[in-house]
Amino acid sequence: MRTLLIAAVALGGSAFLSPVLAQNAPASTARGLAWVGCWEAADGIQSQGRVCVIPEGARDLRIVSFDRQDKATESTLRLTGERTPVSAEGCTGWEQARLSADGERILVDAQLQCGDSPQQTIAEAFVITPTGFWLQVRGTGIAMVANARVRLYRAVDSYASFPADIRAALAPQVQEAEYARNAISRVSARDLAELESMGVATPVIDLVVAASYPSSFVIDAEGAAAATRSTGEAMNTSSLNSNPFYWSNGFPMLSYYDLAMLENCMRLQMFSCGMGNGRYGYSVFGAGGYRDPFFGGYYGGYNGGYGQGQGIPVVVRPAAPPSDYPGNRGGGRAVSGSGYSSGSSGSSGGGTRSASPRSGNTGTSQNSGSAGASSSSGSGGSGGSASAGSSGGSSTRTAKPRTP
Amino acid sequence: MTGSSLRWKCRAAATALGFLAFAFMAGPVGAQAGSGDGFLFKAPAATLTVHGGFAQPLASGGVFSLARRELTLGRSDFASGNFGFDLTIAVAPRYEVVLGVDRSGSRTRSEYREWLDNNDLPIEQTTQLARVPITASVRYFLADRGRKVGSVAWIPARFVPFVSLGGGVMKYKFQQVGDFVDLQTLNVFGENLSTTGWAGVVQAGAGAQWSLNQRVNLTGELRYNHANGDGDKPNGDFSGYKVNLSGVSTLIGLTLRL
Repeated sequence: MRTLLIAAVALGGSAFLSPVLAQNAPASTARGLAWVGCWEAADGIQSQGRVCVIPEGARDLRIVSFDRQDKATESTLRLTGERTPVSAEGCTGWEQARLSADGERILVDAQLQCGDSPQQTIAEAFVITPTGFWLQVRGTGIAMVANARVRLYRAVDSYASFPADIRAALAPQVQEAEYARNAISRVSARDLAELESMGVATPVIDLVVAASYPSSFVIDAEGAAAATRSTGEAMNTSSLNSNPFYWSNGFPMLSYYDLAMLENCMRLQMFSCGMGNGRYGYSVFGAGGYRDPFFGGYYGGYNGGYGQGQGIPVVVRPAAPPSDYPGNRGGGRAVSGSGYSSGSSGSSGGGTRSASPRSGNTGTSQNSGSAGASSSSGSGGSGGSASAGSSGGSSTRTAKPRTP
Repeated sequence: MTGSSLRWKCRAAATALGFLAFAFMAGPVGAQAGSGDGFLFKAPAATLTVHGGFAQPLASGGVFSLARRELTLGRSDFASGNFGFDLTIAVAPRYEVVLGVDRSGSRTRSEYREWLDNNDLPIEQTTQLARVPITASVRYFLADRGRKVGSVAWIPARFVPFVSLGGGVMKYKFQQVGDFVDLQTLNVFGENLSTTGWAGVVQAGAGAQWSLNQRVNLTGELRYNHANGDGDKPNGDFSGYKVNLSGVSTLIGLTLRL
């Protein structure tokens, strides 16, 4: 019984040691304060202008957008959760903007019908990332939100170039807004439950999670290159990654997206649905023909303001592909008498490295009788000789002797 | 301090340290990659539970009837703390395969109820029972263990009851050391009597898990083990006696989602 008692005490203590499900902070940003200020594109889409967010009343945000010529357009984002009719540029429908309970996310739903085209469903989330960026997540689809793209903005460094009335409106609130941004916590289970209860679409939720946990997920700009070509926008493609289907087993969302897209293509038969060309990126209205009314700013509202670019089509995948896992390498090892070995006999191809001795040149090391790490003679010496000539391609990384 | 008392204290301390070590391990893990604030990035494929609790053997029939009849032993004297591990593997949204090992053991001093020696001193002995069931069972959760939100988030449910059924083997040892009375001659003799072996076991259980955070559950379970040790060999120490190994265990433990 004493065992039991002591164990129970230990267990009770351990229960306190383990953190209980985190509680959200009070809604200090219930007016959308974190977005207040002026922003500029941070995702490399050069055609994007700037946008200023100014609080207006208790629950409204006044959006002033500047295009590249600094022509301003204004709209109001009402965070009341009520549906607001939309009618502009030949499109009709409604939009609904809501602030999450903790004030840390803005969610916008919309349904639009433009001309004879099918009604389009749009779901957006405005998220402040842990590094203070504003990530605008947009999902679009016909029957359901089936694809997603993002825009990224950073707070401007200087307000000097903005009109005086905007500077005056923002001046009392910019500092408080910065505090609000810094206070935003990463998305929690409670937040996710709220998003779920709000009916936020899966691709949008995924991106909200990925934005909160950048060390665990990559927001993969698959298809971004195609978007760049198609829209003429310059884009930072440094984050482009390999085929996401590589991960389809572990992350069915990729194939899910793809299937949803394919379904839309087959059903509508009116879009260019090349699966390799923006399969995740374009709304079914596509960039090639009917321009996405939100991102294209057809009805000139707040989205038209800070969404003048097409956005970067993305998917979410884990941060490390399987080949990067320490336990799943390419067969490299250290062998007694031979030293380090890559484990593969071939030496060509991108990423292959070859070794040279630290001192002397490759010719002399061969003559000195040292064994080459990639040499077939392998006489067992400790100094590795070079096989630098075997590398190929500009991405091949090779080693060279260190100069004394 | 007697050796028995010291052993008890050591065992209790080890049990407590085991829980604390597990708790300390589980805390940081909850904050590591693979999980967010209150959620995981995918449903857990496996869990590891460290549990302790209380075991009450039925202690009836066979050798227990003999011991309880002759000696100052009751059913509660065979009760003890227990300690064990469960590794579970999720095989379906509501099903887990549970591989478990558990240990419980009692050690009780007694004397003859009816007899004293010729110096009017009690005739004393110590009785020890140890049981180690090694089982595989199927656990069915009566509610979803959690739910997927989006594609990359899995929120664990706060409270999930379950039932389980399985089987395996149980290693057991029943030992009595001390002085005994030969009822034929009434001679008192010292002896070390024991029977040990393996027995098949059927296990059924019911319990619940309470989520402490995204990584750690508090698990409570009531288990019933049904097992009978074979009678000892004809010339063994307990020739012809059965060893009823059945009993009830209450377990409480910490479960780490892997």
